[in-house]
Amino acid sequence: MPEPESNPWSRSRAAGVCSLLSACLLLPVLVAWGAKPGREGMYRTLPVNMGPYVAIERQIYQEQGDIDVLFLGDSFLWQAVDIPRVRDALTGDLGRPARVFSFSTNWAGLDRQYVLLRDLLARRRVGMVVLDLPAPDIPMEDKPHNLSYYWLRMGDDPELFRGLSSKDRATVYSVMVLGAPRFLLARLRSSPIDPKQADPALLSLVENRLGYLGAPFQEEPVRESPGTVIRFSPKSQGDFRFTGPALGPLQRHFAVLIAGLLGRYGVRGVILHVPRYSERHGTMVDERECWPKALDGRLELMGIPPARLFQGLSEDQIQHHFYNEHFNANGKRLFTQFLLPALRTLHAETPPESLPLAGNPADVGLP
Amino acid sequence: MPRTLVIVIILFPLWVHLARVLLPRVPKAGVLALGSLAGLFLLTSAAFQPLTGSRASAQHLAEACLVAYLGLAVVHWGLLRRWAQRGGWRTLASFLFPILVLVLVKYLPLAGLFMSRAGFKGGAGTDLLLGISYMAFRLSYLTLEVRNGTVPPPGIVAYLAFAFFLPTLSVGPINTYANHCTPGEGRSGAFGHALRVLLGAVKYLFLAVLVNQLTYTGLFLDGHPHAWVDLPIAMASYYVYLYLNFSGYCDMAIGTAGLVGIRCAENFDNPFAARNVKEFWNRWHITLSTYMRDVVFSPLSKWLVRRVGATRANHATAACIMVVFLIVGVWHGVGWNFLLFGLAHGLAVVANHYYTLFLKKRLGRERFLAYGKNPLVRWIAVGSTFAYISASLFLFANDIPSMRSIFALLR
Repeated sequence: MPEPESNPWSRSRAAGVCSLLSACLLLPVLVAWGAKPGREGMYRTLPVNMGPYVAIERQIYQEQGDIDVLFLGDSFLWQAVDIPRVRDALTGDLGRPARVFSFSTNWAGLDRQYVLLRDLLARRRVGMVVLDLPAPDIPMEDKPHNLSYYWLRMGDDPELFRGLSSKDRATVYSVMVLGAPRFLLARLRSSPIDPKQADPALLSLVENRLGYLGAPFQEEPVRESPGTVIRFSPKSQGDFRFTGPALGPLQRHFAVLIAGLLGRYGVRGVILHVPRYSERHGTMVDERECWPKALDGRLELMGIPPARLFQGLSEDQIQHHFYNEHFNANGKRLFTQFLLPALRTLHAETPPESLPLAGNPADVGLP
Repeated sequence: MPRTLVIVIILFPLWVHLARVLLPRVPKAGVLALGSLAGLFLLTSAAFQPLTGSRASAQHLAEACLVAYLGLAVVHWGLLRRWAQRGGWRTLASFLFPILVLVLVKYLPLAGLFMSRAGFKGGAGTDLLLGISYMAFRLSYLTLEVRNGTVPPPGIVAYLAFAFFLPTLSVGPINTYANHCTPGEGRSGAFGHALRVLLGAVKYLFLAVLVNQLTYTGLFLDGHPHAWVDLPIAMASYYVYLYLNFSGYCDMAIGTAGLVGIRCAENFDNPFAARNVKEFWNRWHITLSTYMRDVVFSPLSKWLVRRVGATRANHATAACIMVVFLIVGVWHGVGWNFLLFGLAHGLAVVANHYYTLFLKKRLGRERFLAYGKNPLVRWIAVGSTFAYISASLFLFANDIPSMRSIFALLR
């Protein structure tokens, strides 16, 4: 082989790389000032296996009319609630087709909940939003959602950076840098993805018929008279335990933004604790913080101690309700049974000024 | 894993300098060998950890791999010392031993077997012997260097320091032992080397990740329909991404090697300026091209020209080019797509070979040189080479199922 060349790394080449680096770091500014398309079209390009984002975009930008209840969380909430069942129950209560959707998808990160809610509330009225927040024993880095570069964009929202530390501002900005090439490309050509083709049923149907950790699925019989999830109040606070750790500053920032958004639009917000397999014997509802207090009383909290949810079931039967830490179809059915009474009560109590108007014209694909 | 790789490589010079101060009696080769083996252990453990779910299990598996790796290296060292200079089949055995190990590790399902014997599911694609592709070529070339008398046969410590040299272990460049032994610039070049490590990290960790947003994985394989225009965008982006990723890593490796006083061959020379695929390979992964030229092309073409006669030398050269590029293709990975990638590049170089012969014959020497200097011809050549390389990397980046899904998504 030939002798190695002398180091070809010249100062001019270093200057070139530094210039390129600076240009890349300024891409979010370029996107914000010169090449920013509307936010419509942003969610539809998210990978299909990450959640029904095309159907979500359709609901945000193309459908009209008010929404009665929106479930907006991570995969735990996504797998835990039987949306058609909730819709049927509320339809019976309201005497008109209830509009109930889930915008829950994979991975945690409250920035996702915030931007989806912000974009939705700017166009449609929502009666009640049910959220879940990261459980105390799930190790969670204080960083944005894994896919935040698809939706965090410079210039869209002045609230995004307000009150953040320099480190967290840099984190959010770096996410915007990563997303900039995609936004620039979106400006140059249109995507053939048509949200009108998205099946609205995608927002409700997650029929997860998997057994625990690869075991065959075993259908569990329906229990006749279950209890109900408990709403946090001075009377029921003995069923709740707030163990920490507190949310990191970045996630807390988005939790506060969500609470503010709900307050501004007069939407009832409820944080729902979703039990996981590892806490199946828990006798209390464990959350990181007392959310009603931590978020200035703008959100309610409800949950059920897992031991009470699975009361009377053997260890094997309990396992049949999960496919890993998440609920499967058995778990979803059981948990929804417990959730419905409290949810119906909450919905009935929702102040009339925040209730959606009845008889909305566009209910495409809904029963 | 990439983050661990970068951290381990950047910490390597610190270890070497610290050890040289604290352990003055240990020779430099010993310090390099120890640091490299420790780094290899950390990298292998990091690769196993997601599969085992526990650090202790990952470390046990990494220990087993390290022992096997060391054992194979010591066997080769023995062959090298005893047989490399004796000629005939003995030299050939010493030359082929690392390549045989590479072929066995790459083409037999050893990783899956190893993991299932250890009681874990999956892991069929795990690198049991991290960096074996590059090490096999470095060590086989070492046999030729020793046989040709370019370097003396190394002692075991020097051999291990060269074979497992951490900065170039996993992604190259394929350095020669002669380079490895040539004294570096010492402290005078330290700033330049450190700057190169930094800028390599910027290319590898930032710019490549940014461009990757528009490649096949970042743009295409999301399950959605895509416009046809997305395909050339993904192709060009992948070429740029691969350059930033690979050359960024090589910058870090060469800079780190320089910081510990080891000279390392360059691997890139502005490949985007190449005006044909032959020139591309003189600018891209240069150490691989040089290895293939010295080890396969030159001896094979000499042998073939002797067999078929000088009048058919041009056709013999073309046949040798195809052989070289088919080997280059399968060296890059297991799968038909890699063979097709090698075929595509071989055909392009052969086409260039015949086109050059045709032009020389048609235009004559003076006009051929003038043709080469024509700026319009140059820009067209550079542009079409960029397009061809981008398109051919489609075969490199995607296995057959991914290619099918990409075409199924086009609208």
